[in-house]
Order: sequence, then structure tokens, then C-alpha cells
Amino acid sequence: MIAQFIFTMILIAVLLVAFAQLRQIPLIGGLVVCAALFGAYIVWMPDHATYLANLVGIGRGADLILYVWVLISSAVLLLLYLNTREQLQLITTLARKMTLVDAERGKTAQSAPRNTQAK
Amino acid sequence: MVERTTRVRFTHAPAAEAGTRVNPLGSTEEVGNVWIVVPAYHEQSTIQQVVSGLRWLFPNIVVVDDCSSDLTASQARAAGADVLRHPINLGQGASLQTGIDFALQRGAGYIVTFDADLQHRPEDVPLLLTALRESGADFALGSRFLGTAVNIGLSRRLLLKTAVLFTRLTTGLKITDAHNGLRAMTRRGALALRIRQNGMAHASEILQQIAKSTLPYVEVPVTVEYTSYSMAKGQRLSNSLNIVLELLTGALQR
Repeated sequence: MIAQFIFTMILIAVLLVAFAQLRQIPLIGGLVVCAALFGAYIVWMPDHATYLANLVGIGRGADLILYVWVLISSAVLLLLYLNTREQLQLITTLARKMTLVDAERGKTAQSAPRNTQAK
Repeated sequence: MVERTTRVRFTHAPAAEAGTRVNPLGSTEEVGNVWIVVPAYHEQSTIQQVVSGLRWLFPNIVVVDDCSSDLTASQARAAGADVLRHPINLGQGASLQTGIDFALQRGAGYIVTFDADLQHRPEDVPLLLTALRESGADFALGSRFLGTAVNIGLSRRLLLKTAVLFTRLTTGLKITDAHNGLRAMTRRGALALRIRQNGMAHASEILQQIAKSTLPYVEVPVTVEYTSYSMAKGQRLSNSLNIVLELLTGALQR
């Protein structure tokens, strides 16, 4: 019972973080929410894990949990990687804009009259 | 209406008269309409020679320095190129797109991409541009396998042939060379491209976008010369897996 409470507290914390991220990165947030809810369900209904495992042709409930965990972790990693790439794309756009603005400024500076202090 | 894909053989550019800039396109106005984009990263030992060779033929050269920590930018500027400098290192694909954007802003009618490691020959550029004009295509893609690949090793040849096969299968383009940095495009062609692959996967991405645009293209025989320098800077076998992964994840993002 103590282990169940500890796991539940951890899963609630994960759920809160996932809910907070749901708007920014909906796919990852959604996956983590599903994983946490599934985890909580299995923590409190361990017999159901074995039942579900048998249902899909897996011998033990622990194996089912392991497979699901690997799948969800891989999906989260992939989505985080895609998210990082998206961020890099934004940085690239920004860096390109800066480069082109700098080039334009350089051109303007070259063509500007040199005696700008005469007033 | 031109056929979508053509292979053309333009074997020589107009000869230069002594002491004058070669005018490969027949009129000064048209030469001024061409912009050469040279992406460069840590190329201080070659960039001056590359720019000088191109300046003999074309007045508009933009070198995109991808935040090199050596003298690439100053050497390029000294040789007479416009130099853009990324504030952070982004990759060759990103540099190409920056250069293309710059050239489009300057009103370029034709844009040529040209590597900075001395593996391309400036005299091939007029052949690409002539091919564009005469065929009516929007892209002229340099092919070392229709032309000459000097000092190419067996492993590199195999790697490049595999890339060609991969590109043919994934894009349907009937090409003979997939990762050649020497290519020319019309303004319309350049506007149809939007390179999102910052790294070396950009070469495949460009071909994918050409296929998607349905704009006509031609392949032109060019010479690519491998030196110990360009081999050290170029693609390694291990990078090809990275390129495939980048293309796959890039496809997932769209």
C-alpha cells in the first residue's frame, strides 16, 4: 500500500507537469498524460495488467507494462527531437533575418553621406 | 513548353578576349542579372581563389560565411565578394537559403550555387546558365557523372550512386547526380525553393522540392575535382545515415 501511495504521488506530479505543457507541446503533453493515467490505473489494479496482457497475447502484466513504457518513451523522445528541430528552425529564421538586416544596414551605411555631423 | 527533364551537353563557354571579362551570356545586362551564392565555413585557404575565379566571369558574388572563426569573411571580401555572416553556425543548407534570399532581394534573375572548396570550376557556370536559357528550364543541375569526376574514389562513387538511386526512388527525378553543389536556377525556380534542412540533407531536400514544384529541369555535365582538401571537407560514409535520418524527421515535421 505504501508503494502504491508513493507511485500515485509521483504520477500526480507528472500529470500536473504534463497538463501545464499541454498547450505548448500538445502531442508530448497528451502522451505523458495518457502514460501517467495508465500507470495510475495499473498501480491500483495490478490484476488488470495481467488480464490486459493475456488479452493481447502477452504472458505477464509486467511485460505489458514494460512494452507500453518503451513505446511511450520512444514516442516522447521522437516528439521532443522534432520539437527541438522546430526550435532550431525558428532560430535559423531569426539568424537569417539578422544576417540580411545587417547586410542591408551595411549597404545603407556605405551609401550614406559621410558628413552627417555638419549641422 | 519544354519537356520537364532534359540532359544537355554544353561543352564550352565563349572564349575570353585578352584583358576583358568573359561575357558568357552575350550581354552585360544579363551577366549583372546573375548572382553566385557561395556558402563557406572555415574556407580561408580557398575562398579567395574561388571568388577571384568567379569574379572574372560574374560581378555579383555573395559569400555566406557560416560564422567561421578564421579569415574566411575578410578573404572573401578582399577578393571582391559581398559577404554575409551568420551570427551562429547553422549549416550549409541554411547558408544557401540565406544567400538565395539575399540574391532575390537584389533582384537576381538567375542564381547559381557554388561550393567554396575548389571542387567546382567557374567555367562550368556559363554552361549551366546557357542550358537554362536554351532549354527554358528553371533548374540546371550539374552532374559529375555526365561530366568528369577527377580523383573520385570508389567508395565515394558508390556512395553517390546510392544517393542517386535513393533520390530517383523518392522523388521520381531522372537524375544522374544527387549531391552536386553546382546548380543554377531562374528567379522563379529560386522562389519555389525553401530549404529547411540546415545540414547536408539540403541537397536531397532541394531535389525533393524541385520534384514537388513540377518546374522543368535539365542536367548539365560539369567537372568536380577532388583534392585532399575537398575530400577532408566533404561527406563521409557515416554522414549518409544522418542525412537519411534528417530527411525522415524533416518529413515528419511537415
